[in-house]
Amino acid sequence: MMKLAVLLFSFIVGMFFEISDVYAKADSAEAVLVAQNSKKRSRRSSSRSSYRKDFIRALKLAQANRLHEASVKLFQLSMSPRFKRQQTQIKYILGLMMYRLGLNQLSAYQFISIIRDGNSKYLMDSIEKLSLAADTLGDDTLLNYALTKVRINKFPDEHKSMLFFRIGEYLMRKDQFPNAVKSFARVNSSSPYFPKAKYLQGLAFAEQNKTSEAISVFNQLIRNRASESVTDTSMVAAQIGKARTLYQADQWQASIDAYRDIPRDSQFWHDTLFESSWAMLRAGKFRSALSNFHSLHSAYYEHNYLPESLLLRSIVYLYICQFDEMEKVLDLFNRIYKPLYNDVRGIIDSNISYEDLYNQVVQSMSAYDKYGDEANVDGYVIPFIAARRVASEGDYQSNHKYIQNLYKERKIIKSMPSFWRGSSLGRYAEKVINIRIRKAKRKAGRIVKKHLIFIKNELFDLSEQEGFIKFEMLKGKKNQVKKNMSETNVSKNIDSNRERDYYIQNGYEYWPFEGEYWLDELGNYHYLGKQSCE
Amino acid sequence: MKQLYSFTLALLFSSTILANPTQKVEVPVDELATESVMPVFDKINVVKNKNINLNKRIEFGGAVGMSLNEPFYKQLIYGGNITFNFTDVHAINYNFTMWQDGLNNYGKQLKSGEGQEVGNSFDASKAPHAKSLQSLNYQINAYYGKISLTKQYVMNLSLYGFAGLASIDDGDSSRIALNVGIGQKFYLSNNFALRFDLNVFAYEGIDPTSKDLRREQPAPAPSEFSTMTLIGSTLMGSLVILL
Repeated sequence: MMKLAVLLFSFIVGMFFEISDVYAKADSAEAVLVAQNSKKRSRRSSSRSSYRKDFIRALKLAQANRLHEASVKLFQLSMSPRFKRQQTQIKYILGLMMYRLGLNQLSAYQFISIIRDGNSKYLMDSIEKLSLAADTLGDDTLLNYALTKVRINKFPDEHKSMLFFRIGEYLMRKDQFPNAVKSFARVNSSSPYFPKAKYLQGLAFAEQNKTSEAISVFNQLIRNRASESVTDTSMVAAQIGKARTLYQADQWQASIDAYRDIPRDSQFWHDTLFESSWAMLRAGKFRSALSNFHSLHSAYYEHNYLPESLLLRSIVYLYICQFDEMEKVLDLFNRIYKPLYNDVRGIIDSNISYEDLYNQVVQSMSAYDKYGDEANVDGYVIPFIAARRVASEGDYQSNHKYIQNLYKERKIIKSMPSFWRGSSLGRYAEKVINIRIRKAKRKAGRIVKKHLIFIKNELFDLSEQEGFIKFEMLKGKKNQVKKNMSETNVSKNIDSNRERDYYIQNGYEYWPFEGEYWLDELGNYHYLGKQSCE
Repeated sequence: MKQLYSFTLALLFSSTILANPTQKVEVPVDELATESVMPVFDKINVVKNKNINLNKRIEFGGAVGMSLNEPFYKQLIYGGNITFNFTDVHAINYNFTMWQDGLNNYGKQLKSGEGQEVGNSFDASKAPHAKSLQSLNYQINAYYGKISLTKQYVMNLSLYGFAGLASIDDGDSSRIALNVGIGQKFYLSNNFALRFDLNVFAYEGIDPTSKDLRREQPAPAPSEFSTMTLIGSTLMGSLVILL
């Protein structure tokens, strides 16, 4: 018995930091256990000793960082009723082993089990580890579960920023913006979560219509990232946030200027093309808005979901009485988006399963990623434009990322040593991960359907607006014809001269547009027509 | 790419005299480009909706040009070419070139004995020399671009390289040659283009200076000449029809 106590002692000293903590807790329990094994219980001592040997063997394997063997052994012990008293401890160490093996989902289950039982000395550690595993997995459900159980003052300092960030995110989702602002403010500036937290803090201010505070936060973030590359994601996000908030504050010109600060070689620049067009329209800069639309409606964006931009373009043409151009744009809207509306409605009404909906989006996006414009985007149930739109949504992306992480975990399981895969833990792991993948796919499918319903409703609304715009166009055309008929000597305005040539005086080279779209010209088009209203 | 074209070709083609725009437009300075970077896409596609698509198209051209390093014989050459484009990038090209017969000015001066010792002359026409060249080349259309001429006219162009095997006929025998070159096409429209080829070929040919070729003496038999590695170069311009 003394040998066992010595063994246990040496074991405690040798453990890594997480495990040493566990064993430190285990030590007193084990010592008491050893002391209790007195002579009066000698009849049962041999069998108890055998159990203990199993347990100690498992702990020694963990100590030696033999994660595979340790996890198999610990899993066996966790299932055994003989170790009911040590079950929490075993589960916690098993969770740690799995976490170290990269099996975040499986480790999360062990920690959840401990949290559910409650009142354990491993509770806080389990919550901490669960939140870390959930953070790596990108699983919001697990994370929310952990957050509901967490006690901030007991959470380790080094992970507190992550905790405040996740709490802030959670509060944002619950529309509790003032509390979200407070939570984001507690994220340490040295934390990797700081830029995201700052951005979301600005967003939370904007949601409360506190535009000056939001702009101030975005400016802080821009300054904080000034030493990074001009295309730094956090900085560009802050620039976009600032431009959007200025628009929200009805400061059109300032908003346009802020949009212009966004670097063209940033992946977010494309979104700003349309948004800045709105600001230009509100500022009465029709020519500038039409210049933007020329880029936005180029072949580079032919697979993008942009119905509103077409209607906006037609409205700008209405303002400058360019009815022919307006008609072309409305025709384009009807040609692209009315069939899309019918297709999407058909999918929503059909019995296609959630899993298939998700798979369809994944397949079409993979084909596009692989073949680009050469991909056959017509062969999928969900029209490619709609699939692409859905795939760009935040909730879809986080779920998709979670599913990808589950696939990675399954790959890890499949690459485990054969003894591990053949063990009860291996069989359990494979079964659990497959069920998780199926369920996560179903959830992602529900998200796809939700967005498809949104697209359908949006297209329905936009189609109605298209009808009103068309009515205005016809009215304008009628007035124009009337006016032309009443005037015998109508002077030709500049727009009737279709053969005109221009060159730009600012010292820039002028390339008249002749149907080709060049990557380096995107965003540099200048509409040269003028308003035709008389 | 376009800037490069602009720089080199604007020198050749653009003229300020022709620049006569009908209207000057001053775009607000804050709307003009302030950065030279390009937008980021998942798949980079430099140009979309190309005006000139070559995929599965065939080109026929009639060409004239000159031999660039010909010492004795006339430099004017003429011929034709046929190109089949498998894709926008890859093509196969057949080229046929004929040399105008006769001696050039230097050849004539040598024949008449100018600049030589009294009684000496060198009549290169007595030696077999290249009369025609046929080559079959793989062609890669490496760059597609455009150039703005006189600020009023935009012309598409493409830069290509080619390499292949050739057969040179010297009137007595045919010899195999290795052929490489680069060229540029200026598209006048979707169906017409001007094509300029710079062609270099190497072959084991007859060395006319290996025999004494006095004008009063009969021409030696071709087998009497020794051979050496000859490198010829041509510059040809052709009008191409794209079908």
